[in-house]
Amino acid sequence: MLVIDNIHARIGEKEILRGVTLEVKAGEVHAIMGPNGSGKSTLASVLAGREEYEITEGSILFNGKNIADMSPEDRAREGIFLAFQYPIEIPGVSTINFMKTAVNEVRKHRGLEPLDAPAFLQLMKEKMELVEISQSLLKRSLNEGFSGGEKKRNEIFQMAMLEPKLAILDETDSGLDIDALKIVANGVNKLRNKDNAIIVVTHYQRLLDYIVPDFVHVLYNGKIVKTGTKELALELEAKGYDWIKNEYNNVNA
Amino acid sequence: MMNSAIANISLFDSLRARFAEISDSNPVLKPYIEKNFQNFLAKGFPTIKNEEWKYTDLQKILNRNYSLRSSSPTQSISPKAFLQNALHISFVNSAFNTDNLALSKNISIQPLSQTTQERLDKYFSIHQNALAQLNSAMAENALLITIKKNTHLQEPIIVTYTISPDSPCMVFPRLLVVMEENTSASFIESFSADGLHASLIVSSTEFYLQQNANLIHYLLQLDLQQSSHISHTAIFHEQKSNSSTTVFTGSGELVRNNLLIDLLSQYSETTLYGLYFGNKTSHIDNHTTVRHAVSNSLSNELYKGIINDEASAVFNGKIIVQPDAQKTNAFQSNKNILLSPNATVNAKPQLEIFANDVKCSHGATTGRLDEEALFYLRSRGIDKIQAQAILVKAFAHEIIENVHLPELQTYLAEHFQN
Ligand SMILES: Nc1ncnc2c1ncn2[C@@H]1O[C@H](COP(=O)(O)OP(=O)(O)OP(=O)(O)O)[C@@H](O)[C@H]1O
Ligand SMILES: [Mg+2]
Repeated sequence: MLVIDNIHARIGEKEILRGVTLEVKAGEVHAIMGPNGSGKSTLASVLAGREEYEITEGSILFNGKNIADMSPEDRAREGIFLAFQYPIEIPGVSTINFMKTAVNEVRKHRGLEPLDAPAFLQLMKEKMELVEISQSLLKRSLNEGFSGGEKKRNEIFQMAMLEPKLAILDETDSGLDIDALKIVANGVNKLRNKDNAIIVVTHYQRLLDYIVPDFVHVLYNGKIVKTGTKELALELEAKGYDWIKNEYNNVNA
Repeated sequence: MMNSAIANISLFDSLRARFAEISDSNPVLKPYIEKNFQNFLAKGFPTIKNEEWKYTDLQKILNRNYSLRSSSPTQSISPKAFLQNALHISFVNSAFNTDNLALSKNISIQPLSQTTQERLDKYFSIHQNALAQLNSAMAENALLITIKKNTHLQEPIIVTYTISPDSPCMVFPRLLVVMEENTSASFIESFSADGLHASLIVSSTEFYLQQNANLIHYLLQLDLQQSSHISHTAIFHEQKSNSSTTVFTGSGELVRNNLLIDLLSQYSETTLYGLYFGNKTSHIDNHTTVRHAVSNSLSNELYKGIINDEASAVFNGKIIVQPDAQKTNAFQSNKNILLSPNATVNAKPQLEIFANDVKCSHGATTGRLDEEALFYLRSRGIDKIQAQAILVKAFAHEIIENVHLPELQTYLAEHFQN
């Protein structure tokens, strides 16, 4: 589904990704972990098409298409979804009023008829139940005055509405209390099937108890320096990152 | 033929000639308008050397030939659905039409020339600026509306100004409204012109609010096509009176709005809203003045602009707090969004505060649409153009949501979508 090959990306003069290689197949869950500032959110942004990042080397294939030059909207229509680490506030725009446009744009791209108002409301109701989010929240200005947890839940609600093929969850667990974490993880699991894939960026093992990864990668200094299975996450939880940094620095010394 | 007859003489000469006709046929008004016309001639049209007109150059539109006599309308522009109701006054080309008005005895409408001498003295001495003086000199059929004591109107009074001449013309509508004690009313003034000629409207509207009068006023400049509009709106407040005025500008080659709110007595409150959308090469200039003359009054002002293409906008908001105006609250904010690299805004707040116990704040911002917000919406599958439209609509919403007439609110929400 997703083949990232030796991606280098920079912002301004600063090189942040220094050769990331990663393959994600349909049906898989990949966890990306790594110390603060190692480039996890940058990788997520590069996949979603943020234009500030310049790709200087490497390629990204999504379902066989090179997406490096694709606009963010076209990537979303192709089925890439990013749940933001820090969802921004947009005064005057409610989730409901932009999601209707979004859902119908994505449907159009997939050759489906646009949803009329009742059908849209029906879909919304279903997905609201899935992530246990209230309609009143969705009617308010996006994220304005939302609690940390409400923001994250709203991201997953949007994911549920758009039914992406590849969802990238960037620290969706941060800011969630234990109950909310279960609800969100449950929602994500219900959306999983053999045709879609998920990349989970997280610092904590906690989330991975619920969304069980097939692979765990450690991103450090703009590169994936270690890949393992879910046991790697447990090991990181116990030992921290120093041993990985040391291994990496010794090899590159 | 009239058009070619004036083609070779200067605008001043034709104004003089037209003025002579008007003053000869209006013996009652003659002494008053004479004075105004002389004042205008003494100053002439403002140029960019005048600080108040620094960014708005009238030369381009004054160097054209305008007919100053009325012609019958060449097209009938029927007002939008929300502008149709029982209290509809229309001004077509050069004259008000007040026929067929279903008037209750609580409202009177009369030509200005039929009012008392005392009032005439007052109404012809209020304007200081040249173009307002020109307006009062040339407004041969100015109209005076009086809302009688204790009248509370549910429906808005609608005044449509429609310019559809057989050649480019210059017109001078003038409307005066007296709201007596303990009244409430709303007014929608809507200006439109057909797309055939670039005309020039120099208008004036004055409201005199007596004690406990409540005014809601909307000025719509949404269908001016390539015509230009210089407007003067003045609201004079007596005790415990309230006004809210909102100007929506989305058309016209050159628009200059002069708004004066004069808080002359205690416990008066005023809200000033403005929303302007400039595109192509249009120029939109809003000059507002709020004068707090006595203590305990409140003004709150918010103007927002969206400027695209090569368009330019000017905002100049003056707040004057006179020495006796203690306990004044005065707030002002102007926010602009530039949608194109060639769009420009000149924004200038101007505070003149001569009292010490006051609360005042002001701020002006000009920026582009938030890139982060654009990326967020695009990452959901919404294309760039639509994402921009969503953000523009949200920006405009803060003004539009205050419109208390639902049909007007809906119309504006659609109009300012992009
Ligand atoms: N717009 C930017 N301008 C300059 N530097 C940036 C920019 N965005 C990211 N960086 C830098 O790139 C590096 C990687 O940032 P990134 O947000 O990808 O890290 P992360 O792995 O997601 O960290 P965290 O775990 O704290 O979320 C950091 O050093 C960060 O400061
Ligand atoms: Mg991050």
